[in-house]
Amino acid sequence: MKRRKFIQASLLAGALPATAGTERLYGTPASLTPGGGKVGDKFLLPLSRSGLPTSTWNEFAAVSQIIDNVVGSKTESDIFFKSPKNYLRTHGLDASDKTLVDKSVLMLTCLTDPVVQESVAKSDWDAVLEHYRAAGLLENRDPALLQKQVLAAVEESSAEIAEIMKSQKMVLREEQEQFLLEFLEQSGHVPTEDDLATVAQIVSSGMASPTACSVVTVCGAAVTVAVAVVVAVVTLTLVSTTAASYVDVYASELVSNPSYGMSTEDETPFTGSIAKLDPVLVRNTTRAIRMGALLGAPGLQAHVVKSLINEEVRVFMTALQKANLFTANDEQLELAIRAVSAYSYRSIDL
Amino acid sequence: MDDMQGAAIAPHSLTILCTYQCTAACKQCCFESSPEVRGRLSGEDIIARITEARCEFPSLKLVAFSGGEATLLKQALFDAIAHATSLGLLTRIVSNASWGKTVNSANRMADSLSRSGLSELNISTGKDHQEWVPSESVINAAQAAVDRGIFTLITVEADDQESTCLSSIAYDERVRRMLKTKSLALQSNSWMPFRRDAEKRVQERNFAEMRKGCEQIFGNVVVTPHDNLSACCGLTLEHIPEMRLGHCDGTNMGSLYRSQADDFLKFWIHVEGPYAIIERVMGKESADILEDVVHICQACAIMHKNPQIREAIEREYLSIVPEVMTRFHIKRALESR
Repeated sequence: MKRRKFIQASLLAGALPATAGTERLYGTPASLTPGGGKVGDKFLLPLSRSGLPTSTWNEFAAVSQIIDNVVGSKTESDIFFKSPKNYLRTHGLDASDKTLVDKSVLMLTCLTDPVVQESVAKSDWDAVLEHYRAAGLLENRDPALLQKQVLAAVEESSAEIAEIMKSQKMVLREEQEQFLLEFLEQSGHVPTEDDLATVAQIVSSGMASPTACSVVTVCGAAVTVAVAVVVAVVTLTLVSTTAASYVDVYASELVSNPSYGMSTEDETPFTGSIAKLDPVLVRNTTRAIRMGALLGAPGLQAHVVKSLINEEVRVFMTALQKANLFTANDEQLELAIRAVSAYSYRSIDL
Repeated sequence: MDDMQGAAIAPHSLTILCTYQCTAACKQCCFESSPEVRGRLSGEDIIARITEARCEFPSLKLVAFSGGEATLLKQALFDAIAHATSLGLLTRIVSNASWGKTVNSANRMADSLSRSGLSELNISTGKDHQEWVPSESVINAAQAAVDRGIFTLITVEADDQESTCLSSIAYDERVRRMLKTKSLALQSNSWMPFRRDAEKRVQERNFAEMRKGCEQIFGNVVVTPHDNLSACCGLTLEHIPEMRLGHCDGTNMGSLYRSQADDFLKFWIHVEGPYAIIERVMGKESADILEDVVHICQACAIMHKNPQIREAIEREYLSIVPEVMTRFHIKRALESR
């Protein structure tokens, strides 16, 4: 049906057109009628007239118990995993393809998978996530898409970001400075006196960088200085990637929760700002964290959050590099990503 | 059977739409709110509905006050927030921040909200809103709330090509400071048109989000300014008569809410969402029907109003009942663990 024809059909179905040009698309809202007006015949689909036998309703009522058994009993767990289809059928439940690929059923399948259970016992979280991916619980995604979006956002606002960097004057807070120096030592890059002097100069002088560049350029500087500058930039502007939003407010195509505001129950359990640009990443992270809760495996949850932070830091810093807001070679970039990620983990007690 | 299904649903949020009246008159407002529109709940009724909901729904955690502009209720709003707080519930107001015209006016309102125990402030703004409420008011209001320890979320509707609403707020010094302290969050929300003459907005269609089930259904229960109980707080709730569960009489909130348990369509919307339902029952034709749809509530209005879709749903739903109900109950069982 063509759109024009469809809209006409919709209007015929109850919408009252207002003045030409401002015609309502979905009819007159009840808010404009005293008391909300009378409601005529509603389009309802009564379950009481569905013809399903009473036994089916009893099975639905028992689903909670069935799930408890599957999760709580090794025997039931094994039977379920052997054939979810047969298990659901045996208990009078639907076992169509749509149900079998439902995320809740996939969660159950993964919970009962002996191979996954073995990986969980070994705390081999990468293997667990790989199993989830293979089972279809986690969706395939192209990380390049997130990188592309963040880069577009950074490039669009590069002048403003540069301005912010300059205005922040790269002054490290004491705890940031301490962390940075400890990290540099632990990274095997023992700071030379020159390096530390340069870092100190950056910190104490409040200059953006030892070069004349208006932004952040570390061409030719030691790795430690590169890390110092990047940590300063990112920690001052991003603070913690899982908490304060920075990049996301510059993105014009933010994906937000369509349930507009119900932020206590129905939002995801993390607040990754950059990650929100990639709905698949959000869904995968949410599911993996939920699986961690169902398994009683906080280690899996921490692993997932760390991976998320690392990816956010990576795409953000790579975008800074590509937008010429930060200059570093590959080695410097990798070390800087590790440093900033480590700082972020610590800032949220991971 | 009704009782069994009724026991399976439980709301976590109560939304009180205090009034349809608003200090703004946005062109594409879902309720067509304005200073002229009448219809509001009395302070006594609001408190009674909160008390009733607390008794009826042990699962309840949050009361959200919206409108229209909820702060027009003044003392009645503060009393209601205090009442909900005293019952151990979290509270949120959704406001356009018109009370933040000056720093002083923002502080006065924030003082009252803080004293009443408000947990969270949501400020709605964007291109349409800012024709009536400038960004300065939004930022004043956010700052006043944050200064009093009230977590604040600013939601900016998707901009059109020329609009700089989002960036003007994002680049503001005060906003940046609040973002850093994690006391403020900023997001850009999807936006949907209500009139044919609406301009295009810069927003990508997020198909994965639109194809999701609707958590509003069963998760939220809503009292409208006409004291009607609604099944959702979606943008098109007042355009969809099926969302109205009945008129509140002070004793019937639980039975009205649970009456949804006999409507398979509500379960279907919860599990698959209206966008996916239309795709499922209309097949190839759905591409034309859903062309330009950017919001799940838009799809919901279309699904309820289009005669061809309704016919297709009626024709097919019986064969789908076992599947959807199985998926619903397994999801619910896992959520409750």
